[in-house]
Amino acid sequence: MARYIVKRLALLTVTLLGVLTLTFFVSHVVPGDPARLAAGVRAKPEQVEALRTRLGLDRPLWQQYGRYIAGVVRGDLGESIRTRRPVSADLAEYFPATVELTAFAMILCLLIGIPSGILSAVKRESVIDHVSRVAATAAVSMPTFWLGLLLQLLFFRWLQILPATGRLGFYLSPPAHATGLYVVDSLLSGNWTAFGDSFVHLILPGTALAASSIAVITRMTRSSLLEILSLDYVRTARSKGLAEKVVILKHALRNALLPSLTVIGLQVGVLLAGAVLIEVVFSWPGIGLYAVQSITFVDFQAILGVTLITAIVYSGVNLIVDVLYGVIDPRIHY
Amino acid sequence: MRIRFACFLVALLGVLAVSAIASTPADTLVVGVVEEVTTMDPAIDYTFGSGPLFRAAYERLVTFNTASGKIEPQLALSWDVSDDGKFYTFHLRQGVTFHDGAVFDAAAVKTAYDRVMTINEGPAWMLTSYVDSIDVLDDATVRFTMKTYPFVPFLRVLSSYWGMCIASPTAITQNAGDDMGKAFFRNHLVGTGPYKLVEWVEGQQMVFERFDGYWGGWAGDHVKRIVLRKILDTTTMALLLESGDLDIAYGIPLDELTSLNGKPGVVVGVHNTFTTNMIAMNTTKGPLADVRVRRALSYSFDYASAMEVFAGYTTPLIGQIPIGMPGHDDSLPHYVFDLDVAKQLLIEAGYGNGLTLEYTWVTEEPEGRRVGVLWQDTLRKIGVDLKVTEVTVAGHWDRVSNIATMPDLANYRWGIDYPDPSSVLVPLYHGDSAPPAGYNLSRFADPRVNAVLDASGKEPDETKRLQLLAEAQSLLLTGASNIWITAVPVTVCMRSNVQGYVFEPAAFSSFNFYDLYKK
Repeated sequence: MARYIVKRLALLTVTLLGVLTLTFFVSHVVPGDPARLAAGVRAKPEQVEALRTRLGLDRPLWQQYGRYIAGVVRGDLGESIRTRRPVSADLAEYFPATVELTAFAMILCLLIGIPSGILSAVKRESVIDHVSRVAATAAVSMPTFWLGLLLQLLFFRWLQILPATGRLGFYLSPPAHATGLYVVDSLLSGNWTAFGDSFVHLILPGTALAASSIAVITRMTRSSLLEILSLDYVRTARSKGLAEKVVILKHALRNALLPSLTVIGLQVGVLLAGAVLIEVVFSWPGIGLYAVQSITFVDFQAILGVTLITAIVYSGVNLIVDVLYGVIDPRIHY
Repeated sequence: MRIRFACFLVALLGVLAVSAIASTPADTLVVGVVEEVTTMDPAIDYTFGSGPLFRAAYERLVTFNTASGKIEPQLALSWDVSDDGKFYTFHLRQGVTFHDGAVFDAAAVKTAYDRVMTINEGPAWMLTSYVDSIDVLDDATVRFTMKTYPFVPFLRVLSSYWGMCIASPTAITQNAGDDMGKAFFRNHLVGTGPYKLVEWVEGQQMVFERFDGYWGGWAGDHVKRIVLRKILDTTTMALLLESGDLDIAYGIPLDELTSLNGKPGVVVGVHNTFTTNMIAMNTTKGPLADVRVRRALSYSFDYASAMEVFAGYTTPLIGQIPIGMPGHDDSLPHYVFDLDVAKQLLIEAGYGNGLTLEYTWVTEEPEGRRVGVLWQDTLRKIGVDLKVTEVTVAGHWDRVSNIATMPDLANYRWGIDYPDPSSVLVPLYHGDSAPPAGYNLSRFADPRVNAVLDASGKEPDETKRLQLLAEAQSLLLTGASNIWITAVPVTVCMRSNVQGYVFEPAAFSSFNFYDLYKK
């Protein structure tokens, strides 16, 4: 197992290098002069040139690439042209917000997706199954940002029970910084007001973000559970007189979860991508919002930083999923 | 079990309701803005996002009063200008302190402006182009020696809030480090203004509190706290204003105002800025090198219908100088929509059989697309095929700064640097202002225009200066370098209990916070 993980981590560095190389060259092909944008369109030519030299943008592309990769190896992600500070500082500021949002969405996915999948499978062709099918189809078909606006209209404007934007009400200051996740930090510092407020701020964006993934997980769990339930060993278990609950939760579910696990791993990528739209709609200060602003500014270093961190998370989750296979299914050895 | 669950749900919703409905406190003003600065450094920032924060925390020597068109004292009480225009001597307000306790005096002015000029980024050119040196004559007197003089609009330059905000000398020297304090001033505002910054949660909000030591005092009606909330999605911003979670919503697009019109407790405000929207015609190559074709296009543009793109909130621009700025003249000749004249001019120029032209518009300035599509329709009637292309801000600058890639027609906006006609006419139409030096995208180069503009910068007599500016504008209309559409309106919507707001087109993204209060 340990050898397998080490091997995978070694492969991960190759993947990351590939991702960075591709993003580096693609982002440099996009039209736009970052030095000009950073200096401002009204800046004088000599001001622009001075900035270009300072940022190293006057060097040949391959030299810029070499310097960038060497920097990454040393843990230096370069300086953002737009925010004028190290990209790592920007990521430290914005990434926790995205982690908090996607983690919350993932928890919703697991808490709602798997149970409703089981319920639909067990009560196949019942009202519950039909309702869950229609809801899943609707959730998958709705554009994320549109669902976000709809939720705002319903819960903020009409019912007036949930806040529409941001991570905290304007009257509160962020809790003492420990992890950057407001819900966790406020718990750690015992700041109950901030905890309640940051939690309610998560509900709408988290739900909008999770909706389509919940649908996918529900359908996946349902179909794989149905397949398992028709197998001989389940019939054996039932004929032994085991309670239906035990048959489903202990015998069938464990096998049915394997395909769901793959899908759940993939949903992390979907959630990270969806966060870009949701963060704009809900003014959620995460890396999605940061990426959008960096792209319009042709802020290479920032774009690369976001790509790098997203690639690490995505590959990391895939690795965890693969390891979990072995835990859930003892037949799988690495 | 079910009853218990239902009780739990009701209780939860109750708790949520209490925490969600929070209309703003009476002594706090909550303002929703779309744009956030990436640095608060007055020596570097050159964006519209800094308007509100600079206006809250910083002050300048002088300010511009839009209603009277006059320069008024702020940190300078009075000033003398030498006859040749070489020296500007300012007599400073006494008893002013900075947020950090430093005393405002002549040395503070010198320290602040020397820093801007040494850093020499963004707005610094407004000082470095004109100012040779700044000298402290005594504590209350500071003298600017000019590099190029006479330069009549200089006081108006000093009224700009880009580069002209005066930061605390103590903060400047103590935090200089090896980057001249850029890292410190990136997220600190240390000025003499009425409100001091207490918190900036990046990407979310800035909180200001009243500065007890403010020289203006706190008698009368003022708010204690100001919160600037960044809200990127304007649909959401409108919802927040309607529910009372915002007192002011800045920058809701014109076509989204319908959702707010007539809502109780909401006052919708639309104001014309000094930012103009126009189409540059490439005078250097192709059919548009011929002035007859440029005039034909000027006649082919349906000015009245184009106003619908701005939801009818504005009027066509007469001349090049926006309404409210000195030099604007409604009596100037201007083009009117007349397709027959346009067709005739095209035939004279040899394009009776039609021609194809490329028109670009910038993604971030969406009115450009609708203007283009409307015009495309009209032009088809006189045999002109308009290709409408979208470009990003970055792509726009790439294309227009190179003569080889400059499109035939480019829709763009120009916002002024300081409230003077020279800030419109010189960077846009002087022959020396072709990109990258300036923003003369059409590369219009008429020696008569250059001469008149140069003369107007040196003419101290306001009446004579206005005559020169009128002459320059007439020459530009004859030369048809651009199609002038309108002054771009912005929206400032607020709750009806917010009092004291005065819109200033020269600093349209900022607010007169000190005069604002809630009823």
